Amino acid sequence: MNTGRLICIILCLGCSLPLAFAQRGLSPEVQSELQALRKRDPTVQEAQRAALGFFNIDPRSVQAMRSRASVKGLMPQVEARYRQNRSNLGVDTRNTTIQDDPFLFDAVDGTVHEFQVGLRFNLPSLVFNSEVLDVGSLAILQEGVLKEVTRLYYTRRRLQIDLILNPPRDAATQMSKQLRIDELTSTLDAMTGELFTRAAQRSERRRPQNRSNNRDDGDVFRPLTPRR
Amino acid sequence: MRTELSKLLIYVMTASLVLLSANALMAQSPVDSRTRSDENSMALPAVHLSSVPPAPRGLENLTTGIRLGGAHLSLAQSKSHPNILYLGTQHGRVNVSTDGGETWSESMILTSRGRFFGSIRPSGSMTGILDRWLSPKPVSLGRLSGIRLPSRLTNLDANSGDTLGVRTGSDLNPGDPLVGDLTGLESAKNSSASGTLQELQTQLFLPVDGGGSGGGAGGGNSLAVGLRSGAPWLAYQVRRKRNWAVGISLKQNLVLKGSSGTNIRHLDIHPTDPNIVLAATDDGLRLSTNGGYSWPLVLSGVSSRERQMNHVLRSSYDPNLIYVGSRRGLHISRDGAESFERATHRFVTRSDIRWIEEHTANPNVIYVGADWGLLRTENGGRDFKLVHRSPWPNLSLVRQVRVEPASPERVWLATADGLLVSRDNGFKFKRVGQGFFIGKDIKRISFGMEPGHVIIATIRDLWESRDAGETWQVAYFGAIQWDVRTMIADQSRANSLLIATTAEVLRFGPKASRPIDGDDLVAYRRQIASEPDQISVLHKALKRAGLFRPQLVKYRKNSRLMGLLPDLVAAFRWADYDTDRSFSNQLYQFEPINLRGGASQPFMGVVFASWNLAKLVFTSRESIGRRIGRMNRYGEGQLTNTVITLMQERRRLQFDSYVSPGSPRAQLLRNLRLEELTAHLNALAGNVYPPVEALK
Repeated sequence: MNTGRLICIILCLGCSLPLAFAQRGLSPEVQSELQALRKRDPTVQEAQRAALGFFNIDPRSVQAMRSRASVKGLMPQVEARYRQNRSNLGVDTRNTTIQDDPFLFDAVDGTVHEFQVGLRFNLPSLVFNSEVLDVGSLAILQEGVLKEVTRLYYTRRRLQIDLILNPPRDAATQMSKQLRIDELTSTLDAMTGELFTRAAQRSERRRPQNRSNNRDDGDVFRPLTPRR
Repeated sequence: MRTELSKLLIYVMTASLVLLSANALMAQSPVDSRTRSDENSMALPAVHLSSVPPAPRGLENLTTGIRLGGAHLSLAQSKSHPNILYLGTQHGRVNVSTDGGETWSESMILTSRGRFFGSIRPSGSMTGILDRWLSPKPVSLGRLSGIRLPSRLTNLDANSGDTLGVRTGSDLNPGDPLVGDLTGLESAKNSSASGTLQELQTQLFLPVDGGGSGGGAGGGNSLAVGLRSGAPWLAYQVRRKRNWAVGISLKQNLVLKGSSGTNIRHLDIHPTDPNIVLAATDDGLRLSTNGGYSWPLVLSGVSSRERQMNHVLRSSYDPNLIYVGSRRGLHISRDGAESFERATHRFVTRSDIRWIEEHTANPNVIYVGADWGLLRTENGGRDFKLVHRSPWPNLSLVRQVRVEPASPERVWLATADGLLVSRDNGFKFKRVGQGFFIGKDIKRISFGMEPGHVIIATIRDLWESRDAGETWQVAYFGAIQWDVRTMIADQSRANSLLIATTAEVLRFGPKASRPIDGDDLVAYRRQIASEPDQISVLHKALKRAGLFRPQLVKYRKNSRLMGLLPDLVAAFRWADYDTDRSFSNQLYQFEPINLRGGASQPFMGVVFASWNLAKLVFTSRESIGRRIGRMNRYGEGQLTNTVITLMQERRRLQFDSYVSPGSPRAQLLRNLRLEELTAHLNALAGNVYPPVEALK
């Protein structure tokens, strides 16, 4: 009877162990691919910084704009004017009872150089300048850019993870998902000043050997073999 | 010993068989127990709500942890494979779930076709500092009709006193390189169809992606250029041209406007093959036969109105019979969307068709809901009879028509101004709801198993009646952010509904209270206690954005002190005079007899100070009613809403991760979403939380 129980327990364990292992976590291959993915791409913080910098609305720039707007009243509006006046006055006098030709000549030559500078200080703007508040409007744009770049980043990341967790078994699906990832990468590149392309190039340069070893034969129609 | 062992094995095998068969029976039971009437109503089958006192019901958010782009518009569930769901969005994205909504994948983007790859929009009264020198005028609709883009550069500052202006010549034409580079207008140069150009203008001036008002306030320019993604070089080059007025609003428009997508208004899944899906979009009817990876166009139109498909219905009697309601007319296919014929009856041929519904007992009776009333045909679409129309326009705007499966003589009509019912096979309709629904936009109708059990969805709430509409009660008060777009019966679970709001996919139905381990709860509370609370994160985000209300109010209050400081004007003048005078009298001698010379270097300085003391009493800058105040309030509201929404979702995910961690895949996806939310909040509020790394 004891032997029977033992066999029963072994049977049950045999049935349940694979399930338990599957539930415990992801396979080592998947985990290593996920790690590689994490290391290959720029982080979301880098993408956010790049996007905000690309649009010139990163918090530091915005804060600097606000500070500069608050003290702009110290700088005057300057108006400068230069004037040069040349005068050449000749006065001839004639007495026609004596003769027709002039006999008195009075000539005046003069030159004036004049330089004017006007300064206009808007000192009240040191107390209040609506542009300080107007800079706050950039927050709307900032938030929009952040939202968009974060959303795109993680939509792309989810697709990448999906490709790792559920590798497609047909070329069309693979191609379709890859195209979508490429589209998202381009969109992110357009928003971040080609951050992702540059990161990919850096990554390629670092591992030329690995790349040459794992290079595809270029046949997109060959059947894909699942890697696990 | 051997006998005992064999007995034991037999017991184990018998128990396994019993468990397996019970499991199979349980899996089949919801499908098998469907009534014939339910199967007939293919588009939106009945809900299985039992007549026994309702069990506790609740909501389950199927999109928790996943951010789907664009407002949700349509949702469909496969009848043969109830775990397969398709979700259509405003921006042309189709999301597919194959596990009943646990995970979603974005399968394809339907982008509206067009020859245009950019967009220009007018700015209204927006003026910017660059306008003082060079200002391309807003593109006028009339001028564009003549394909002339007035980007003339003229001096607009009439008060500057200068008479010199900058003028580059004549107007820019579509073929000019500048226009072409910036806008892609050269693609319209050879446009021959006026309809195309008109539509193009509509797309230009009425952007559907939102953000159309993004550049409408100060500091911008009068020409906004939108570029689609994938043109980083062009974007960079345009940004470099800071001298151009186009450079300022470009950054607002690149992201906020972008390209227009295609609204996916309705989805229909084949009854036996979940890979075959019809999508009614703004850009025609599309058919996918591969689970959403590609969407070839199967029905289009010559104008944008004809291309806009509002609803598609596959007949429950014949899967090859397909009805399509467009913004202009009704189309019928009898060969599974291979070809379509147009219904030519005068009532439907130019109507904006919103919904089509088959009678559950008679295949020839079809109800067609338009934006001006309800039509009924008894011969499959040849002749129509107007069965409902109201002088009140909203009451004629049909949202949905449903024939009650258990009592086909009752036809329910959801309109933009309430709920109506016909109890005589759809000939005479009258309001129901004892005045509850007057003025309410009724979005969708669904039915229970028992006759007379009706559930309706308004924009925000669910109502139900168990006596054919005589009395009504609220089934569920929706959250404030709800904007229900569609509601269908959940085929995978009895007594459940699937509801798509603009931002979430929800399952409403029986929900047992979840036992929570006390230790998990304590751990969750500890975690929350160790983090900054919601209001402090919000304040940090607002301060970081310069939109913290107390600071704004304080700054505005200071504006009265402007009166203490003067407007200061200082002027200085230096001059150098040099003059010579010669006087000669030729009666005396030819040489000058008198010479005079003069020189002077005068200096003059003057300072004016003017105080506007009236400002000490009142200045309009104290109030927030002006443009900048309004912009600040808008930004503050947007940011507050974003931060609170992100934080709420983050808390929910944290709670879930403690009390119901789920499978490794679910954990990974949840952690990824947590990472996203944390990164977003950190960017907004300035690193308030330690970053989450889902892949670590």
